[in-house]
Amino acid sequence: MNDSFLSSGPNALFSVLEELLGQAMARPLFLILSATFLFSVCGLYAMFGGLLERKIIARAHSRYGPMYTGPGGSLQTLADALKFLQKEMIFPKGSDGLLYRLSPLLLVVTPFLAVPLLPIGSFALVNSSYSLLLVLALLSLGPILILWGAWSSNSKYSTLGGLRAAAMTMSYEVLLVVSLASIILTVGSANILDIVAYQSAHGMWMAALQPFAFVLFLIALIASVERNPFDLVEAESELVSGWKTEYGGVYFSITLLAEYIKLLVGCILCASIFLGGSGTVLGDIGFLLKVALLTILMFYVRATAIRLRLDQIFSVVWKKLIPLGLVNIIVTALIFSLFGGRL
Amino acid sequence: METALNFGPQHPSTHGVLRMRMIIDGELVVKADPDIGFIHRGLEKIGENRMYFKFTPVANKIDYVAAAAWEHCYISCVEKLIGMQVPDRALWARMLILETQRIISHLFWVGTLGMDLGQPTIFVWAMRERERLLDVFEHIMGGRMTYGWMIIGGLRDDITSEQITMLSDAIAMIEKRLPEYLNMTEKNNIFRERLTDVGVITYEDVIRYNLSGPVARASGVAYDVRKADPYLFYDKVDFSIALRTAGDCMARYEVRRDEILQSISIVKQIIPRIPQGPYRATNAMTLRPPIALSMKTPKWGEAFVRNECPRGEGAIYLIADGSNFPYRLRIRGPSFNNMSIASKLCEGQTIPDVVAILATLDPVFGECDR
Repeated sequence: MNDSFLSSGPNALFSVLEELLGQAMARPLFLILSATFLFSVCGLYAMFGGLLERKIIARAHSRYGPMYTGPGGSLQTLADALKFLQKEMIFPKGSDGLLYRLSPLLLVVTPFLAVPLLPIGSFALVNSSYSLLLVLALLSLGPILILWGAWSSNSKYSTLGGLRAAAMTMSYEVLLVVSLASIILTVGSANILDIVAYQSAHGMWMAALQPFAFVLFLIALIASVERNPFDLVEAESELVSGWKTEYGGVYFSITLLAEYIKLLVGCILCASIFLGGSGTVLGDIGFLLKVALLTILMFYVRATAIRLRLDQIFSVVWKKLIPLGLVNIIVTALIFSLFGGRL
Repeated sequence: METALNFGPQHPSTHGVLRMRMIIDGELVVKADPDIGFIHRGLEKIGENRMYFKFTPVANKIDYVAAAAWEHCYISCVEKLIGMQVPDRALWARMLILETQRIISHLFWVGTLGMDLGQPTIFVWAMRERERLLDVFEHIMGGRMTYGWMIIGGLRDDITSEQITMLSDAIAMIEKRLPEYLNMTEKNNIFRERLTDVGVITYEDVIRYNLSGPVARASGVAYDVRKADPYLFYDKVDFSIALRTAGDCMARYEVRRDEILQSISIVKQIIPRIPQGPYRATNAMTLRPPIALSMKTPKWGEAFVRNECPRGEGAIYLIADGSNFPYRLRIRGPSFNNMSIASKLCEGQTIPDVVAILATLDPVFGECDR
């Protein structure tokens, strides 16, 4: 497996820059351009994803959602962000200043770090044989940072929310790894680009080859982005606002941003691994559609699902889903050993 | 590690102003102690310090979610005290309003239950249907939350056939949309799992803690004032007591759902049976000054009236001493008694269960604190 920081093959932009400016100039310029691109993808997603969520949930409620800020309420997220910036920053008495400030910042940085590891359509910045594992590692940092923030806020509701986040990792992290292990077995690589290439080579989505893994992954994904029915980390009817009870103003807006970028990472991951990425139907536009549909699916689940209890999550995940995932891995392995080689 | 946690009174899930003093061990509630009385307004004393008919608007505020129920409870108690004959048309119209009020109250409850279980969609839907009924109430009674429509001896304003058509339209709409709710609630596995076997109240506990209303009927106690001590014309309409024996939160949900359906059927039975005729007695005390000043004051006597309010058995006891003011006004609110078991139910449960238990007890603190 060829590890390289810049993917040399599929990136047309880099080769154009290289031809125009030569190797020495092209590399930094390419990095700056790609970073700008990735940032704008994340920013746009957070802005319009947030708006779309409010609109979709409003439709489910038979309301209109934001209507007055910009045409059809399209600038509502921007207005909210500006409002958050103007708010006074309040630090609760007895809170641990450094951890309290640091945890939302790191919380937004970790999913940002995962974005370059993912192929955005046919644009891939990093070609590493461990990219899938790296993304998983970065995603699993989230609950630890939540626990930091919750613990340092010196509030009982926050602490309970943080403890719930820590306990939740015991369930969905395992599920995430179990569901992806069968994919890695099938493809024989933990490189997301390889998995996308495998699907386009076989002309078949991984969701069709590994339907159980797909369902398990979707469930684990909803849990890892902490949305309904797994939103018990910030269960507003039980813990006021969970771990972010004490956060306000800029820090609150940062936690929201982190939530949406995490959602973006999850949706891109799912679209690339299970729905063929940009390799199969309609290319890049197909990829965008897949990410959009997955996002909308998340919002629909949020508009209809009722929150689970912690013990219910554990019993469902450990008694039903993880055994199913393990059986799936064993069956995958058996098929390979019986028929020799890959599918 | 055990630690104290203040649950309320400014907490999103404690309806109104309940404060739970809880000792928690992680997610587990070791001890829960409800602290009530944050909106104690001294309603009984207020009633003893004003003329009989002037308490009507205050009676509306005993339970602001089901104001008409308490308005009727008070008005019928005064009527019993002074022995006033009320025309049939007024009684049938009151019954129509009481049953619609029960639907409104239970819809509100379904909504807040959904909210507490983490799904605001149910809440918004329930509010949407409730709004239609409140519009009808506004047409009939001039108010959305509190009414002052019943007067001692009849009704302030007659109910017109146009208003009755509006009401039956709204009821038909709700009947059509109820399956949507059932999809969101009882046909949802998570909903059932969150409520089944949570907060079980036994038959003995119902008797011991003097619980009433849907909370009692969910534990197999077939006690409904509409059957046990029929008032208005409840003995002339056809309905049965919604009964479950499980006693858990799910049973309380099912009882209230059945009551919504039964109230719809009762309303449908009432509408064709409202007779023509006067809508108030000739000697009725209205709120208009010339007649009010000539009001008849009760002689020494006492009256006790109990009604099946949406939350349980609500009762009012009046003693008259011949003056313009009642000598004693006593209110028996079902929420107060139903809250008394909260402490026992919540101990040993987890925090999400406590929220579900409090929601299914359905306390309204205006009536609990009085």
